[in-house]
Amino acid sequence: MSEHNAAAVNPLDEFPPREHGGPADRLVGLARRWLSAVLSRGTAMPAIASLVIIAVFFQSQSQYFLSPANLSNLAVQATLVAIIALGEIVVLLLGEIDLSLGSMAGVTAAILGVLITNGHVPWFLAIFIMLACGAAMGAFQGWWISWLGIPSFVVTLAGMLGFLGLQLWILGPQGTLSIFDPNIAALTGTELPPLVGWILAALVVAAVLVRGARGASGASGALGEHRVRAVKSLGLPVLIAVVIVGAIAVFNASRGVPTAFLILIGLLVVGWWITMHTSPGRHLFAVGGNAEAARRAGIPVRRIRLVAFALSGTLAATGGLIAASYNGSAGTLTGGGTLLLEAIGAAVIGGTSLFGGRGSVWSALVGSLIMAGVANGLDLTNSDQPIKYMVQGIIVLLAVSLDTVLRQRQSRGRHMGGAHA
Amino acid sequence: MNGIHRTGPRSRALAVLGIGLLVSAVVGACSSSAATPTTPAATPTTAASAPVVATVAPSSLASSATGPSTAAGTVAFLLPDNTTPRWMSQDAPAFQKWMSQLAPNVKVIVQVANEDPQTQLSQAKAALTQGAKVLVVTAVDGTQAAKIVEAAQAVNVPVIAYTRQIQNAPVKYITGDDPHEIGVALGTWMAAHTKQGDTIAIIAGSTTDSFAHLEHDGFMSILKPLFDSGARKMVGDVWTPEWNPVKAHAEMDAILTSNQNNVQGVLAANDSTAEGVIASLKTHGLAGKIPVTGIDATLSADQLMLKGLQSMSVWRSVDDEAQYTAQLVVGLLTDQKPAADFFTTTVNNGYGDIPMKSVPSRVIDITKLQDLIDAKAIDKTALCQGIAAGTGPC
Repeated sequence: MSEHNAAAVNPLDEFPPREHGGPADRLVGLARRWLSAVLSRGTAMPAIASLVIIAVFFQSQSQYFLSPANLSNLAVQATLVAIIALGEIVVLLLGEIDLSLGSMAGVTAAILGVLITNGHVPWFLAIFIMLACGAAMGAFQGWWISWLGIPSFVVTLAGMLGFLGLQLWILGPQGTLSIFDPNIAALTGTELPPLVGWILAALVVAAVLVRGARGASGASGALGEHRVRAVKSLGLPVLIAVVIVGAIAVFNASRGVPTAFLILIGLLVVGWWITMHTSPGRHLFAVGGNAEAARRAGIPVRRIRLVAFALSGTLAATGGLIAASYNGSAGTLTGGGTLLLEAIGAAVIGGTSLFGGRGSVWSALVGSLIMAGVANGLDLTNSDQPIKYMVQGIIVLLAVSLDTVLRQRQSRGRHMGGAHA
Repeated sequence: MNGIHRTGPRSRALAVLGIGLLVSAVVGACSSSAATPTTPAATPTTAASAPVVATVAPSSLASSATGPSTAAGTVAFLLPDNTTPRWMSQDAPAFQKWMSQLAPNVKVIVQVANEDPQTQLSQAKAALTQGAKVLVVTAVDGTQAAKIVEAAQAVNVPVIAYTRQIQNAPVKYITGDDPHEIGVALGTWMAAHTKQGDTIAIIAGSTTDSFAHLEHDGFMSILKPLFDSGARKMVGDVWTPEWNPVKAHAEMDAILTSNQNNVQGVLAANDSTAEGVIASLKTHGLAGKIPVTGIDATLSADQLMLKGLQSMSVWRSVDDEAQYTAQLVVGLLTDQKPAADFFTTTVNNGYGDIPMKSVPSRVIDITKLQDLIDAKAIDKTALCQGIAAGTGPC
């Protein structure tokens, strides 16, 4: 989330609550403030609005869209795009772009296939090697970008082609390597038992609420201000808790929480923590916002760039792992097709800027749910392929436009608020 | 906000990316619609009645019967892309092998266009400049490749359309699969392996690939009467972009969800879509329980058959196709007309009736995998990796 940028000026700080009406009025006022506090904090909020619109629309077209079984499928389908999108976001925050993520996913999946199927390497070692290869490929590209100053567009375009060649070369004449290892298959083919899902949910919800409550009680000052602070700091944790409980209930109504989705959420939480609560993470935003200023402030810009590309390479490899598990094979199409464009689209739809300095790891989740949700809805309604392509194009355009318009409005409102204060 | 004052190389690069994506999207959309023949005229005339033959017809060209030809010169073999493994790993070596056997003095140029019709046209022109006497072309785009035939005709060089048709152009001969016939084989097999009242899902190929449409016509010619009479029920007929297994997986998920897993057979249009279908069936506990088709008999599909997850595939011998093509090339170089019974059919490509030599295809299931090993189409060691001994040929 963009606490980093948005926290500095918040309209709510300028407007202490004024109403002294009945309890109903107060309740309405409280709810309104809670909603706008939540809205003002998330870059992904406009995208979430799009997601809700899409859900309502497709549910009206097909009774199965919001069924637990379909939402479980959808979660797994979105995972691959979301992991690649997460890798893209890491470099987008820097104001860079990585066009080679799909190819790196393909190469590392091929490496996994060769290691497991031909080399009989244990699955955990094979996964470690594939992730290391992804990191090395990303770091290699990062070196050209940060030390030689070659634009990332060019370096990763070369990487996209070169790594695709490497992928085809590794796969050899047969083109597709089956991966029958049950542990690899389990990554996308299994679900948590319902009870484990609930225990996990309880733990996470407790952690989130405790953290939120601590923030609320720590607030001080005038009574009105205190109340606003409390509302603000509890608003998001409550929303998160509701979403988690709801999601677990839906998954458990079907087959349980999909393992792949859990992996995605784990990666997102780690990514969120790194970007929001560690100094290298904050440096990503600083370099992306203004590289020169960041350099003068003593931030090791080159090293940050190199690490970011290594990280995105590792995430691409993770995507390759998920893709290999999802289809039970590593082939010439693994990581190919429209995957990269879908991932970039997901990141941007989710609210991450193409120009650096603004965005959130959560946009990977929301954006890819939108992309996968639309594709899945079109599948469920038996739409023709030409219609599918056109609808997908329109959705991308509308979702990003909604994001941009709401953001402009928000920043205008902020300026006005500042003037009044 | 950040973007406004930033007009550095980075934003320019992004603008270029945007433009590039737009252009490629437009080009892609245009070429795909152009590459999709919907006219029945493009269907081989004898396809509907052609049986799926298993035996390889003996050569009826004099050149191969009387030892190596003395033909000389240059022949160009133009292939569409590097991402489909068969072109460079099977077709090119097989064609070179047969050419060196039939006409050792002929030089063979192999060129691969990167899925780009313009590149292929440039490669064709370059080959003509180098003095190629025959062009063997697997078109990137069946319609745009007419330009290649035009360029070759200007210097009196005949063109053989290899595997993929070239529309509206004076192509000399056509060799390759008969997609309609393969579709008929799939439809017939599926009809035979489902019962009265069963539901069948269709996961078709890429809508931009003419092969997928001809194949679709083929299996529908068998299945549609069954759907119309109520003997079978169709639950979904979906095209799969790029024949991509990830897309096929999602499509199958949707079909299973909207039918509460009530599906008794899946007609997957090739092994790649079958792979996605099987992965989806696994998640829903149906893998190995309902019949799933495929075509190409790829190594991974063969292994899925050994695992009991895929029911069948359709195999065509690339070696046969390369042999027929090499025979036709040598005939052209030495001005010998092939015997009339050499061709299996004629295809109207919009320009006229072109003689076609189609490659026999056959249905492969777990009991016939040994035949693929015998034909050296697959390697037994690779096939049996991770498969329990005693399963099929392993």
